[in-house]
Amino acid sequence: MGIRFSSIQIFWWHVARHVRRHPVLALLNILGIALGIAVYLAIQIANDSATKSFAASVDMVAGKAHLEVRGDIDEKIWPEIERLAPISAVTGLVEAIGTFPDASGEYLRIIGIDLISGSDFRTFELRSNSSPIVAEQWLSTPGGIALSRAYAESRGITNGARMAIVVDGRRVEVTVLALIEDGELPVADSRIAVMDIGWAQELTRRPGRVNALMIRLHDPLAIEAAVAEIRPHAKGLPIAPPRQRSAQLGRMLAAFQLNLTALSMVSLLVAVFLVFNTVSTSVARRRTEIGIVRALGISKSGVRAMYLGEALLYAIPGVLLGSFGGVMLARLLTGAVSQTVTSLYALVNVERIWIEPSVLATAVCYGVGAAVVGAWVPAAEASRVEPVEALRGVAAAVREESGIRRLWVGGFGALAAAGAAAFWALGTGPAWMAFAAAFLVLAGFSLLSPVLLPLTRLAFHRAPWLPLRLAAERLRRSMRRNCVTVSALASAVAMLVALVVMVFSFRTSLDAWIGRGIVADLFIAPAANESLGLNSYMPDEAVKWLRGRPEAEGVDTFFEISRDEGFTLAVVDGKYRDNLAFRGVDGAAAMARVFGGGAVVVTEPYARRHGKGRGSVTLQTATGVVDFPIAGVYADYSRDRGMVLMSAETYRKHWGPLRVMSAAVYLKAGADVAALERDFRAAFADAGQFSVNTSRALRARVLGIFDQTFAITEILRTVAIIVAVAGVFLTMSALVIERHREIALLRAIGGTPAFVRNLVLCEASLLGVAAAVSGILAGMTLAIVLTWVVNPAFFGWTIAFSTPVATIAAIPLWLTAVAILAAWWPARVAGRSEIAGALRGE
Amino acid sequence: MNMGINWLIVVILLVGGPFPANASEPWKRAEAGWRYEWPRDHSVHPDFKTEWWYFTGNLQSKDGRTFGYQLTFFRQGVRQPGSSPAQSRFVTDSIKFGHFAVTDVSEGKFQFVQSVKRGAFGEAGFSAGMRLAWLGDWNLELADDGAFVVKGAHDGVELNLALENTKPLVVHGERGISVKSAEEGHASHYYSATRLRTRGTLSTSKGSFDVTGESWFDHEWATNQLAANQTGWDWFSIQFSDGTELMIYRLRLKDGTADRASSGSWIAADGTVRHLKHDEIAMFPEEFWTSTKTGARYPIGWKVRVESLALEVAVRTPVRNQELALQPVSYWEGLIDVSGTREGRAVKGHGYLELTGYAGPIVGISGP
Repeated sequence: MGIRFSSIQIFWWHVARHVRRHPVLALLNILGIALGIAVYLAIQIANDSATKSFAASVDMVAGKAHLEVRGDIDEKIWPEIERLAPISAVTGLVEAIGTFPDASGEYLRIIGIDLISGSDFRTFELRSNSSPIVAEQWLSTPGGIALSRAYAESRGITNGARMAIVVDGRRVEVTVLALIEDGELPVADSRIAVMDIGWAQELTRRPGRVNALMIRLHDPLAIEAAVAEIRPHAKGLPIAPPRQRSAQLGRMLAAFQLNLTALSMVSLLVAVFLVFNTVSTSVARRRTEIGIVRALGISKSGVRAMYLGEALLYAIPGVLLGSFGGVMLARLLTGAVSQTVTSLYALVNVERIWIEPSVLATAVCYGVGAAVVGAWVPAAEASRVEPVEALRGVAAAVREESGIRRLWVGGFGALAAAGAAAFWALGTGPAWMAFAAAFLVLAGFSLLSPVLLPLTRLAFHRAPWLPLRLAAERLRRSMRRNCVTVSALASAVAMLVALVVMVFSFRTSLDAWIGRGIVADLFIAPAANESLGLNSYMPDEAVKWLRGRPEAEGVDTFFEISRDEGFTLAVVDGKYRDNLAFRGVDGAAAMARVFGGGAVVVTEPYARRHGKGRGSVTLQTATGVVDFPIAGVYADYSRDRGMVLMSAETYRKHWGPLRVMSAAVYLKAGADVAALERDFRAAFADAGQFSVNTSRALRARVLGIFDQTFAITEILRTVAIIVAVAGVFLTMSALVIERHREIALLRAIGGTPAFVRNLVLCEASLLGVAAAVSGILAGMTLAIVLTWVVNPAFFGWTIAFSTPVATIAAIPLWLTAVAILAAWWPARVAGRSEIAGALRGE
Repeated sequence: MNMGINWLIVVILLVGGPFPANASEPWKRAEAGWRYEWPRDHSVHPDFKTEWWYFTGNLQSKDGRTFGYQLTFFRQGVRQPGSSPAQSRFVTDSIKFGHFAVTDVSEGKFQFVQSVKRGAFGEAGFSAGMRLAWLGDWNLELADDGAFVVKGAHDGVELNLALENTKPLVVHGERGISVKSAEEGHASHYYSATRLRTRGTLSTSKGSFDVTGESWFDHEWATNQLAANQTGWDWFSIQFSDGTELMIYRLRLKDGTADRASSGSWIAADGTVRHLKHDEIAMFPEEFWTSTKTGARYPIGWKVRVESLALEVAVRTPVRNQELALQPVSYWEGLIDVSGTREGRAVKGHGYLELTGYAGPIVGISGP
């Protein structure tokens, strides 16, 4: 050869040109990668943003504190702690949630601060700007608040405005004394109302109590020694660096995150399949060209690099597109994530998205990695093409048989490993093993699904319609190619089925639990508790009023507090209504010990997470460290961190006064629920300060919250459909391109365009059927793993397995329909193919 | 008069216009005809919005070291007594704050601190009893023999003094009020103990010293005493070696002139008080010092002439930096040496000089 070609030139000539000629194919690959990246990024960003928003709100109130005492605190310990040797400063906070009587969902996080003792703590500089407000106004105006300017402007509130808000079920008046400039507050949530600690105590009618004490130390490193000194003064209260609360939220979200990250990995897996498929096609079609390239002097590794390079042509735009899409999707997801955090852990409102460079970098690695992995095998195959062999026109050696054997071995191997992992996870192993089991199930079925293709031939090779018979035969013959498509599709279907089954099972179990647990006639709580987490309290007079009603047979009241040990402590004041589903013990006997003997009962998630369903729960109380014997374990789906239930009597004995977050009213037979509700509203709730629910309404609300929590599965269902469309379209397009000679031959021997079109459509529908069947099998197995392994191992929830038969049965139908639709365009192309041109080479 | 700094601004980064005045009853104003009675008037006057107890003094240790000190207790009323009662202990009627400064002349060192407290837990307050004022571990008490016992402490510096009055208490101004502006209604009730025999201990990083010397005590209470057109003041308290004392202040107006309400008192050795009017006093700045912290340029050296007394003295300070660089208001307050002539005879003395309004506006001292 007289001419020397550079590798780059050959790459453009040999590979890139091919990509350019098949833009649709290229686009699908790009989309496949983009999808995986987008889902991965969106989940990471949404969780990061929720965690960081929370951390920022902690920072704002905790400021420069080294330690924080939290809880319902008697303010008298403030000067006690201030006098301790290691302490340099102490300031108190009063916190409450204010809602607006007129706008549902709107709220203000009220923070009562002491400007004087708090001056060492504030991170936002309280400096005078244009016209300073004198101490007099700040300290003498009852209900005087400072709002962030951003918030005030968004609500059209001006300085000096008076407005009504609802705090702990009471309507109170506040006056806007000042606006805090944007950028001064390190918070993501602008919905704050800062006020003087004294007026905050008056507003919440909580004189003598503070919600937190912020502490600065002379030696910030001597945390433990300081905690030891503070402990005797703050009995039963958590004492920790404020940052610890953010870390706790991070850990809580990690479980949530793992779940979703695993699913994003599935979509990346699908991308791997797509790339594999595309590059395989590319290699198969150009064996001759590869021979020429090799003959031009390009080495084996050079050929391999070229095909890996092709994968990068998909990966790079895919990553870019996916990153963009991920950020967009994150904005949608963030609402769902913060809602989940608020209902399970702490009030958080995400007003901005945080994007960590490291998360972006990881996403890029995943995208490029997926493409390289997908292209690796076909690229290796291309590198093995010998120039002579290819130029001679020898067809690729078909190693179908050995391939099938390997699939069988790999598939069953993966399933066996899944079983082992599941067993381990449920036993002593780490919880993430449960996810490994789920992943192995998916992998195993992916490997086994192509084996179904010969089965379709068995089912259809005697079909009375020729295109169908021919399609079944062709699918069997091109198994090597089709197996990847079927695997990809089946994975998506499996993911969908698994989620649908798990969510359905979960919802069914939850519904049964509600049916048993929600037995009171009327449930009353400050309205803010419903949407903003349990942060508001019922006024005493409301509870007294309810207890005094003649038609009330009984009133149970509830209180709960999130403990630093990682569970919720729930306190009930009332009696047992046979409404808890105990595991293995007599409920009445267990609850008798709770109400009469100072024992506690724990939920299944608690038992799983803390490894104990018997023995005792050890808690720091105001009277010292106390062991509370566990009387039983009961089913509960309300708190995945676990819950410990004790009686009000026990609580008061060890902690002191108890506040009420909600009340359940039991009526005497024949009493009028509606009348009581009306009277209560007339007496206390003229403007929606309380949510008053009948058991039916509450049930609907709980299920509503559940559906909201799992709204994310809708997004994943959409992912499954997109994967189905893309997969079928890609495969059929590839098949049509690859077999244009064969199709031309069919046309030459008398096949009409309609015949060819039907043939392609039949193939697509058979792919759909095979993928649906295999996907449902895999999905059901995956659902079993999710229900019986992941949920108990990760969340401690016991869920009764139940199948939404109709939904599952419909999958093959719509999937086949989607497959046919997706194949429509390739089928038309096939039908119109030009006979002479295609056959010229034969 | 040591008007001190009765601002304490709540410094919320606020925006927006002035607020409507608090709806509660107006504070009592300083009006002519106040009948002073002691020890009653040593105690707090809660019906007035602002009040301070102000001690300054020159001290010597046995080994010849010279110190100056300032210890002030301020009360800034925020809610009038009789406002609707609140259950929270944090809802307070007043903010308690104080300034403590020590000048070590031998070392050329000046230390100062501000302490602000709400008094929610009783850690700061004022009483009608013998304990007149306290702020954390700072304290002002009246001993059984009528002497003042004061304590100030911060960061290794601790001052414990007993102050015994050697002359009658001096009421400044006329008819029981010290007028602070040519405008109507700006005045205070103001008296001083101009020569307190002082004895006690002062601990610094250099050691613990037994000290003796002379102190000056001001007690002043008012509501709305400064007028809007005033920018600051220059205040002198001087104890002469011949047993006489001089207190003069000049209120500066925005246009650079002195307010006609500027005045003073001259106390003869026998305790006779002579009220000095604006036009009897002439004062000229002669030496300046610029603060690197605040950029303020303070006139720290003066020529003071009171023609009616045939008095002309030069005022100088041994330590140039005696600035209390504080938030939100900084000022210069330090010990001074005085020398000159009265009626042709040489006189010497020492005292304190206070310069305000040089490091930005004095906010909050006038009423709403």
